[in-house]
Amino acid sequence: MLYAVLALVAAQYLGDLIADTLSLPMPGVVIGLLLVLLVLAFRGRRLGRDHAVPGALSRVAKALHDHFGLLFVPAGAGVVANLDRLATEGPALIIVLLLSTIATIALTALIVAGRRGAVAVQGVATVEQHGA
Amino acid sequence: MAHEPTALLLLTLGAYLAGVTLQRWCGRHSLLNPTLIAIGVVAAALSVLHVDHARYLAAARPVHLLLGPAVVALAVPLYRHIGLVRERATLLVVALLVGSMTAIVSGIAVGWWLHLPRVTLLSLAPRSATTAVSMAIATQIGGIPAVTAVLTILTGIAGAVLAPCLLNALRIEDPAARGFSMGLASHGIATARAFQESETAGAFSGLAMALNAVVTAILVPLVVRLLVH
Repeated sequence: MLYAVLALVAAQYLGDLIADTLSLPMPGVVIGLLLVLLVLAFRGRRLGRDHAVPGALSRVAKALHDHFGLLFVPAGAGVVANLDRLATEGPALIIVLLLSTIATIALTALIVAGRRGAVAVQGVATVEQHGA
Repeated sequence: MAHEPTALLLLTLGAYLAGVTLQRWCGRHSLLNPTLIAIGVVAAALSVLHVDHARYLAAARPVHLLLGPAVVALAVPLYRHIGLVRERATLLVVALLVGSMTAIVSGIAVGWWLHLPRVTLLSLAPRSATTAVSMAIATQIGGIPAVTAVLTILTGIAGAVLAPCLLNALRIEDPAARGFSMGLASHGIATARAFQESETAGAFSGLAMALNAVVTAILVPLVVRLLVH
């Protein structure tokens, strides 16, 4: 277990180091993620896909992701202290966030699901229903 | 008080556990998001007990510190689903670019329509990227990083709470599409929700979150130069 934790922290540190040195437009953790992915791909090639992920790493990753939501609580609670910064613009910002987030999720999901015509088809169906 | 940091750590863990339990009782409904419940409980407790936020953040630091390794560990579910990612590579790239652009442009457009000031529009633009990245972009383009941090967290919560209902209404059951759209629009907080749905949804959500951090950092300065004067 300790090896797996060490590997993750080391990958994050390396990622931070690379991002800082090359001043890349991406966070160190994302580079750390890519480094671990590369190592896993390399191991997969040597040991076969089923043995690529060490058991300990698999358990640590599962534990972290089972409680991923917990890790955002400190930052979230810290944000509540800054909510008054939005005071006068609050209602407008809530509308922006809701509309924009809904549009982004819907459009992205429809594209990945391969339903490029889905929006148009639903629009036509609604018009037909109203027409009838 | 010497024992205060331990008490605040206990509060954080207890509030989250209460959120998880409450959600389980109510059939895992996405509206009862455990992160949202925990943030509410902690914020209320801090205000009642008159605990300064800097002191709270210092006490809760061990939990916050796990966030980095947890994001790095997204490589594990991603590796397990790499075949599925390759199969869909073209659609994912299109979805990434269209989705990222939609998040940036629709935020600026609706904000402009509601007469929000320029500096708020600039603070809004990068909010779909994960917090560290969105704050860095805000600084770069002349927004207010503290405001961007608030908007980023709220966007995460909005996505985590609304996405499951929205995707059900659109009859999208495919875990890859559900996860990818959640992580792209609402980064880590929605990725936490995606992992509740399935490991596949979590893997695709983590992938979208990582990719969109990069794409948002590239697109926002370009879009802002064109749209916000």
